[in-house]
Amino acid sequence: MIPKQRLILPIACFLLLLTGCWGRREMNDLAIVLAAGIDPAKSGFRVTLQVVDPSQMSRNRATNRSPAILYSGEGATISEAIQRISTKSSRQMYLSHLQIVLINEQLARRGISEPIDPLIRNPLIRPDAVLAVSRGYSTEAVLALVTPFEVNPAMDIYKSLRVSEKIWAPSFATRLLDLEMTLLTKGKQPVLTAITLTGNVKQGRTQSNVEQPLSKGEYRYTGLGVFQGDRLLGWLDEMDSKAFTFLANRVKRTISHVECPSGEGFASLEIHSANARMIPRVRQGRPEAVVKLKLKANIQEVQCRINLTRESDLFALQRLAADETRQTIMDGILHVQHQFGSDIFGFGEAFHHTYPQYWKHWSKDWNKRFAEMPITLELDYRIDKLGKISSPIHNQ
Amino acid sequence: MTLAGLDEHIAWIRKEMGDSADLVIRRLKLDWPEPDGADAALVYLEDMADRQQLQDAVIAPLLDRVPPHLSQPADTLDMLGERVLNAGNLQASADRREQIRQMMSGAALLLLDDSDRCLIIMLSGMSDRGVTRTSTQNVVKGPQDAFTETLATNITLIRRRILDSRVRVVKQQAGTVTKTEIAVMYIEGLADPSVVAGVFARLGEIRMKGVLDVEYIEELIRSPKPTLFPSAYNSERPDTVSAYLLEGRIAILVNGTPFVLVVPAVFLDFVQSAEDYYQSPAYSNLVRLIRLMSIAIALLMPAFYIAVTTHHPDIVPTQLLLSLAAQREDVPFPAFIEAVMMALTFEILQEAGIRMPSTIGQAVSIVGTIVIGQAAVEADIVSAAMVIIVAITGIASFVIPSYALSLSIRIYRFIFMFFAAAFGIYGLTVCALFLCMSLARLDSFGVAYLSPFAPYPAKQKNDALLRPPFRMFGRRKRANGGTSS
Repeated sequence: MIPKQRLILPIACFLLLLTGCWGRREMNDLAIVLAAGIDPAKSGFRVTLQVVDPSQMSRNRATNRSPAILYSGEGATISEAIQRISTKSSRQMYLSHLQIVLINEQLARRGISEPIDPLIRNPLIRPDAVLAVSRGYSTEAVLALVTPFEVNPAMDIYKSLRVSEKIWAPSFATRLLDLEMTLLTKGKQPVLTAITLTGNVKQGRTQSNVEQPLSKGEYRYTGLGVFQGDRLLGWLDEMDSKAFTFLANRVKRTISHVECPSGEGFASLEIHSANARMIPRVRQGRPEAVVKLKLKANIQEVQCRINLTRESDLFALQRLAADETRQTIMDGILHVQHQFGSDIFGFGEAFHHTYPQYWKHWSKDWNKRFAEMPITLELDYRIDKLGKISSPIHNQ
Repeated sequence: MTLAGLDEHIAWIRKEMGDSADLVIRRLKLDWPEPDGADAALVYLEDMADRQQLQDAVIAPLLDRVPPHLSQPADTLDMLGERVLNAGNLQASADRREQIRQMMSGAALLLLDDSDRCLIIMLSGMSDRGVTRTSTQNVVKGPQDAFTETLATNITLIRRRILDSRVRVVKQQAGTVTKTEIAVMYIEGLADPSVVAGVFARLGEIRMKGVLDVEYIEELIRSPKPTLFPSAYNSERPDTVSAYLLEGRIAILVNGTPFVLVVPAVFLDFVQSAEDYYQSPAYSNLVRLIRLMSIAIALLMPAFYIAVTTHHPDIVPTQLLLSLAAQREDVPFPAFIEAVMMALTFEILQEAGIRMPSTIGQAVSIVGTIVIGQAAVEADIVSAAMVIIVAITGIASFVIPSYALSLSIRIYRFIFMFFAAAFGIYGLTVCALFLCMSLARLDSFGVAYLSPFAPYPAKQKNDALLRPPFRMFGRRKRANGGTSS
């Protein structure tokens, strides 16, 4: 008879088989999906997946084959639509590397909770995939665009959003995780960036789009879509989008111009540090809020005659820049309040945290209260760097 | 004893040796004791005894016409030994078995017709290749000499390094046929007496026909718990062995092999190199960390690659995944088969490199490089990434200072690869856990194999992972039973 201790090892080995971790798949059996688009269809949804052809990613690729392949499938549910793609693809769709999900504008206006559900439910899909709404075009059209630089259009679209988010205030990337959290938060509404196409869209789909320096068709991120719950209400323009990202504390660096004190040209200022704080207050039983915004900027470009070494001139410029920024942000807030009445800034959340008692009564009709709420801005704008030269050259 | 006695003795030796062709019997007629002289015979194995010495130290004095003047008659045999012969090491013995045994190791026997004893004259002059440079444990800076196949030379190499009377050398014989000489060396007062006793006890149990290398001893005295890891350290460096003696370890030297066994041995011994102590601490520590990293790479790299690419492609950065996928695109085999194929090829090349005659070495390396490095990738049999992985793994395994450890790592690598292919990173983790458990339960003569890390906390962690500067060496390293000096 075998001693009991001797039995432990083989039994432990069999335990390994019971874990259900048997997920072996070779890389050349997978179709790596980098981007997905969801459009409405008669039967429900039309899902478009952009898949990489790995053989086109290597050094010796054949130029006449596209590095990206688009597959579309229709179904009553998203999952069904994706599975249906297997009827026309030799490989299993592998969603773990999904970078960007596009949602058709019409679908977004109807509500995104249905198409989003499988994305946040599926454990294979990474929660940091970004979302965008395709404006004016179907997602399939956007994903079919041939892009310069990145061989994979999906990577180009994804990286462009990531880069512009860093250096261009109106850009704002919403990850699946952010969207999920915002939808679950009371007193805050989501926004999604819009992507659209410009130029000759038809020719943009062909390889010839990248055969000359100037692309015939291009994509572009344009403004932010304001949601109420899971429904898209409308679009913010560039300036209003900027106001939103300032308040959302998501500006890392951005650029703005201001008219010179002398009024004969513009100065360009790069904001390199921005810090916003929302302070909810209650006055006479009504909500109001103060936004404290600290900005630091350096001068990038000066078109006019100004002596920046003189304190008064610099302060004059600083004052004008502050006024300009205040105008932009206040306009943006007022537009959101009056045009949409959707609290994308998260004031409601701030009240919920600071004044839970009031929030109990206000939460039901918060949209109305938000639209009427007085919001003041305390702006602290400082120019702290002048660049390599102080005054413009023609001044010296 | 009469003349017949001498003849009988010679006849007995002849019979015992099966009338061996290299048995030389040289009859001598001595002029003394006066008046009638004596018959003698010199018996030795040709070339086992040093010819020159035999001539100068034995035959010439014996045939010297000038007899020694003795005040009183003494036993001729003792008189020869004390007054006539020029040899250093000689003894008288009546034990014929002992005589034969000594002759086998190079002694010449001087038989006299009036004595039942005989003189055993140690003249062993087997040609020695001399002390040469190390070939398996190289250092850039530091002592360059290595042990040889001769036991006496090896003992001397250690003795010259530790000029202390407390160094003990105990000789034994092992092997029922080979009767190999074994020397156990330790430093009285530093070595743990119970470990010393344990070593002798286990050496005493050896019942083998032959002992041709320390490995014979190592396998026989190791702890009975099964493991693929080396449980005794072996080195061909006298400086390393001396350093271990100073730590209170025990060295076992076997005649006929330039490798010396050191017990007890713990895992970290196999990770350390003599050079760690011959270079500045900053550099030594950097190298030690690189070495540990290399062990991890040599053990886990192919397994990790298999696990990640076949089970968890989701954790690979997207760009990297795309380029890996691009390389694998036309490869017909699963990653596991691909890895095993490459790793086996590498093992074959390595074994060929050791075994083949050194003159055709280049041919194999050229074929190996071209076949593996280029043709296999271009023919889409394996992916370029896999070649890189296997190459890095192979090079990393050469960083391991102990060849014995690198052998066990090579075996475990395949086990890890199998589990990684079957169960992914989960399998890898479980496998690593089992490896750690199996190492933790090992001990070498009572010293835990993973000390000073397990059991934890250990008293001495100085010089475990990192080597501190020498002025910070308060006491000798590690809790191996040896007390500090």
